[in-house]
Amino acid sequence: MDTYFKLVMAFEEEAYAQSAAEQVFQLIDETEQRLSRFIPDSEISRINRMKAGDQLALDVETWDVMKQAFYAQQLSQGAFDIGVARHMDIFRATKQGILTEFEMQNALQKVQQDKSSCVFYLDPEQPLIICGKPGMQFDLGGIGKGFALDLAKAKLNELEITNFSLSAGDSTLILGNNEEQKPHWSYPIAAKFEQRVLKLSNCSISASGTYYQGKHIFDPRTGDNDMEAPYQLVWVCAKTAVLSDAFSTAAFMLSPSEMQVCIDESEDILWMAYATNGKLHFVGNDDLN
Amino acid sequence: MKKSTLLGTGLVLVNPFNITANPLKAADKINIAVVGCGGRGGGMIFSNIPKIPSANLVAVCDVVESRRERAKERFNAQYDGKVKAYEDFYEMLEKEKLDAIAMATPDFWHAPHAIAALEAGIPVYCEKAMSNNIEDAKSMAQAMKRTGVLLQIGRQRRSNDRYRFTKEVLLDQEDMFGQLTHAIGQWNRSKIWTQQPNKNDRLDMAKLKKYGFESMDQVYNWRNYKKLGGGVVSDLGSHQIDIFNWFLGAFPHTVYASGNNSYFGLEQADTMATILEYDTPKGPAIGIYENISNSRAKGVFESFIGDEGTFNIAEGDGNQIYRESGISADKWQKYIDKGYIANLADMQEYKEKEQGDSGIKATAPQISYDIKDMSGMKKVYNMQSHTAHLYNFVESVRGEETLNYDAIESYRSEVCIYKIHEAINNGGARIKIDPSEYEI
Repeated sequence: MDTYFKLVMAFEEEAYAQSAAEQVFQLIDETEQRLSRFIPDSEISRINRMKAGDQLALDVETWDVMKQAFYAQQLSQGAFDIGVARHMDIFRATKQGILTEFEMQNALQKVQQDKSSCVFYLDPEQPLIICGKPGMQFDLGGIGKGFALDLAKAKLNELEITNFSLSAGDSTLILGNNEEQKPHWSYPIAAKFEQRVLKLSNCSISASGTYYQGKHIFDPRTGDNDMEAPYQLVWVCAKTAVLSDAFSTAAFMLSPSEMQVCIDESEDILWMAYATNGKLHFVGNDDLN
Repeated sequence: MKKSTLLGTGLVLVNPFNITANPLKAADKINIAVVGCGGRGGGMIFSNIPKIPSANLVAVCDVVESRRERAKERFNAQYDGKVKAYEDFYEMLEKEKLDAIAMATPDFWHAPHAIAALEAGIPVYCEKAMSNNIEDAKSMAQAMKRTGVLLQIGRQRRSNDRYRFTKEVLLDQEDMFGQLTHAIGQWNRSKIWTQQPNKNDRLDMAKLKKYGFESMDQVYNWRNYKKLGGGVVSDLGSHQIDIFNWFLGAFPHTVYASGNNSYFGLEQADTMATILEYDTPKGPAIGIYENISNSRAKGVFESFIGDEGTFNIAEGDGNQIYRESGISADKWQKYIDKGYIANLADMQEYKEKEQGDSGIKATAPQISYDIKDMSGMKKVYNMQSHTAHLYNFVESVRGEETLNYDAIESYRSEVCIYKIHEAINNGGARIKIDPSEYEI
């Protein structure tokens, strides 16, 4: 996942906590081996190599994250989409000088056409995917870190560790707290002219910004990467890290009213926030405005 | 986004196909048991076996009650199974009608369990290493030869499609890299596993002593004890040195090795390096292998250097093929045309045709290649290597395939592993290996 993970936990036995941390980091490694499209033996790489008529049995975890990605795609009306690996390859090849900008533009049109005509069937009853017609390749970069954090949370709970904070590259954070022992975690968010410290409890939060990632964002619905970002920063708070991670990318393409629709339709997205003109705005939680 | 539009984006949740064969179901299944429900055994139970349509998990066995019960309950709930759980291997052998057994127990239990199963006519898939001593490893290979019952050892790279493609097509069929003169491998990791029991594990030490464990730490971290496991050379090095032997088509005649336990201070060596000398069918070659337990920065890989090309191969990332400068691009074009390899980050299809007499390019042309399609192979598993290796075993039990890696082939690689142990234990000695030592 090309980032670092940071785990903070409270537990009375150091050796046990150390062992728990090793188990969590092993789980994150296994998740990367399963989901990274840059590892040729991963399940996602094998899905990306499927030909027409191929059927592939999946690990339960891969099946689960694909279903959740599909849900996020539906809920965001296509603003979140994992079927964009080929687009990402083209952007990278252009940056490396392998393709000219002229070639990039033609290539993007071609992969967008291929994507719109391909068919994959993700079986809702059993961990199985079938390729009807290839033409789309998957990249879980927008959801994989969140999924790894959700698995890590389940592992920590299994190990009876309830007070923890685990972050993936500082952009997605999952928090666990036994409210009798630790009522909340403090989480600062800031725009250019405003800073707030939020009290968060048993949830996940993801942040995304144009400062580091550039002002132009890629819209998977059109295949273009010249959309001007309407916000400087967005934050998404959800019950699961999968959803906060996925929507922290998608939210750049959603208006505040569309954000509200997503919150209303999902039981697990708690609120979203964005920064414009250096000020913070919250959607779905009036107490914070 | 409405559903009709979703169909256009490709990922659908309604079945648009007339599916006639479900890869998760098979008419004739073999009944299989998994012995050892720890990390690797859990992988067999929850990740490998469910993807093998011809395998029917009927029993699990582990001396730790909570571990075997959790495995049983989770599998039965997740896959609507009827798996039974056993503490005692021999009781399971007697009570269950098994067609095959998969073992993921500590190394010191492999030989007695495997030989008992083979003597009972039951084929065995056994995780590597075969044992923690050469005598037991040899007795396992001899038992397979004597009984004629299948025994596959779990060095999963042997069933990894890319490794098989490299061996069968790029090396043996195409001779793409010329004479291989060097094999270089490393397994880099940050730490040696030292696990604690989970809060909800139920352990009865009096009972566990009956099974050869003298402490709680031995149960969870048996790899760190010489009388229970083989340490980093067996656990990690044997996967990669076995690939040296396979790709070079030879076994070393001499090993030099040095190692110590200075970094973590455990019983087994945590740091080691070895040099292996080969006489391959094409000429002499050298293998260089290192194990680092205090940094994972450089990952896990094997590199092979030939006089016409070099390749890095790994189960993770870092796979790359390089053409030697003296070999013209035209000579390798046939491999691109056959779909074996790709360069330019597989972007060739988007490149415009060259126009004019010359061009000015912003960057240097790409000179490395990746494996593209594994065409030309009789069988591509398209499975994660652990699943593929167990699948190959199950299908061999059913008579549909032959073993990719039987105990006799494995024993030959284990001989040089034990010779490396011998060299380390003798303070960096040079050990000669007589060809007869590789024979069963």
